[in-house]
Amino acid sequence: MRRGLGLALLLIGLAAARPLGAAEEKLVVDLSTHKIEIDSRFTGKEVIMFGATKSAGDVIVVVRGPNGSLAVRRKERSAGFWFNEDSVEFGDVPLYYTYAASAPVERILPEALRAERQIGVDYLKLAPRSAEREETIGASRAALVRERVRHALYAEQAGVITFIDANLFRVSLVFPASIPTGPYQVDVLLVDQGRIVAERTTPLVVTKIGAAAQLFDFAHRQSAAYAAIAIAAALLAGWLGYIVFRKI
Amino acid sequence: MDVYLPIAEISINALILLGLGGAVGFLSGLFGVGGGFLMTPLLIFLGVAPAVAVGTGTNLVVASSVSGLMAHWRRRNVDFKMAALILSGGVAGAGLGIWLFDLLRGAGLVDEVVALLYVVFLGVIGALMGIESVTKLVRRRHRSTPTRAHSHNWVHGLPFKLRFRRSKLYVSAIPPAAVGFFTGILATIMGVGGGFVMVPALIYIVGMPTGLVIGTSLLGILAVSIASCFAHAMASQTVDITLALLLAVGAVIGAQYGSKIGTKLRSEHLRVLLALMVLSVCGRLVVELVATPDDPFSIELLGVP
Repeated sequence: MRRGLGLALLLIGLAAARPLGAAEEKLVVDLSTHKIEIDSRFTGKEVIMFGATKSAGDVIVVVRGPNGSLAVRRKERSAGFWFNEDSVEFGDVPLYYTYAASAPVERILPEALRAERQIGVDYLKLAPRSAEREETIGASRAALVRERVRHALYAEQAGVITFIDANLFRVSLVFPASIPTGPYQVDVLLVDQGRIVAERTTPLVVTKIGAAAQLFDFAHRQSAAYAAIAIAAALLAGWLGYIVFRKI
Repeated sequence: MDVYLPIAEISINALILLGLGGAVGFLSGLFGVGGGFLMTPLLIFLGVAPAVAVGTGTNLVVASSVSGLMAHWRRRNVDFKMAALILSGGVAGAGLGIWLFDLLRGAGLVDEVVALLYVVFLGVIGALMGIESVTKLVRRRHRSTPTRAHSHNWVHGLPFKLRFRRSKLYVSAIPPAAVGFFTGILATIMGVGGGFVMVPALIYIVGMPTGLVIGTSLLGILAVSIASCFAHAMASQTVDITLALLLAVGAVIGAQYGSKIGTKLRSEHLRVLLALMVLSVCGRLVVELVATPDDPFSIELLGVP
């Protein structure tokens, strides 16, 4: 009885939504999970996205992590030594960024549109907090991207989009062990003849769970107690090591 | 066997961490140094954020120095009166160190100042110690001069003289306190125990016997590392207890082997080895400062809003 009522409500809902969502229905997507949980055995995770398209076209999937602020420092040689010279701070930098596409993006989307939608690390809008010379900003921005790429936190054309048949696709998104925690956003674009014909946004959250999360919270909320426990544990470890191995 | 480290926020193979801890603990037991100077750059190399590497290093040094200290204590190689003096200086030094660190960080000069200071101190200390111990070894081989317990120098003219029974010394209280003070400053700025500055200073400036210096230095390092570990955990939450304990398992075992081998070596031999180690740390720092870096840019995460 209850199930019947639920089903009826769902059908009414769908019927009501249909006229509004007609354009959107060209593209339907979902993730195998909307939550990446980091526990003490976490070594990275693969998230699978499934999607269906109603019309022909290519698919682009953009993953953006939480924003943070970063400082980029430049070393310069002075009196024979390499020292930090100037520093540029960037606010609202996505700490994680990758995208995948079913075909090279340069071929399926014009540059203006890629820049507008920030598809490709070169088009990420990274704004310095202070006024700097244009070449300083450019070099710092390039260094920031290099560092993120080196730690596998930025990647271009990452993940593989496989079309299972003409209208059904599957995307494998692999997240490294060093992913920052926080809210993520996965944007899926359906592209046809250089235009975006449909798009969907799916949320994804990366959180620590279990002992890892508790330790992190404890360290931040009750720093003094955490410090005391850390020191006590180290003292105990040192003493135990002496007791067990003094006979050697 | 990768383990996720909740504060460092990365996964590292546990076996690598055990081995790394063992090597650092060995040096700690052998020379009376904490091993942070070795641990911090190695952790950064493994991908740990510099701030976490420094903070966690202090926690590891607590474990390795306790292990080494107990072994030396059993062999009656600890001068508690001397250690108390070093510590009182160390506490004041740590306080000044935290203030200096903030000042230097504000000016963006932490790396430069610390690196240059270290290069100068390590270079001078290492060279002097190397020359002295090698000369002594050569002389002893020729059996020419009878060796005194220790030489008298300007230090013995200072006031506030105290008797140290274990060390068989009658010296001013100022040099041990000053050594502690200076070590305290370095420890908080660099995130190292400062043992490789403290050990040579106690041998040459205060004139303590080498064997006693190592045990006594470990007691000093223990106290300094407890204080700086507490400071890091409070101020920036950069002490990763999981990482520290994994390293500590290796370190406490290594420290037992190190202290055993250390007591079997002749003190001149020990000083030659210590000089070599100090000079190689110095050499590494010089290379780092002078060599053209792979990437002149470095990136630091300031915060997540």
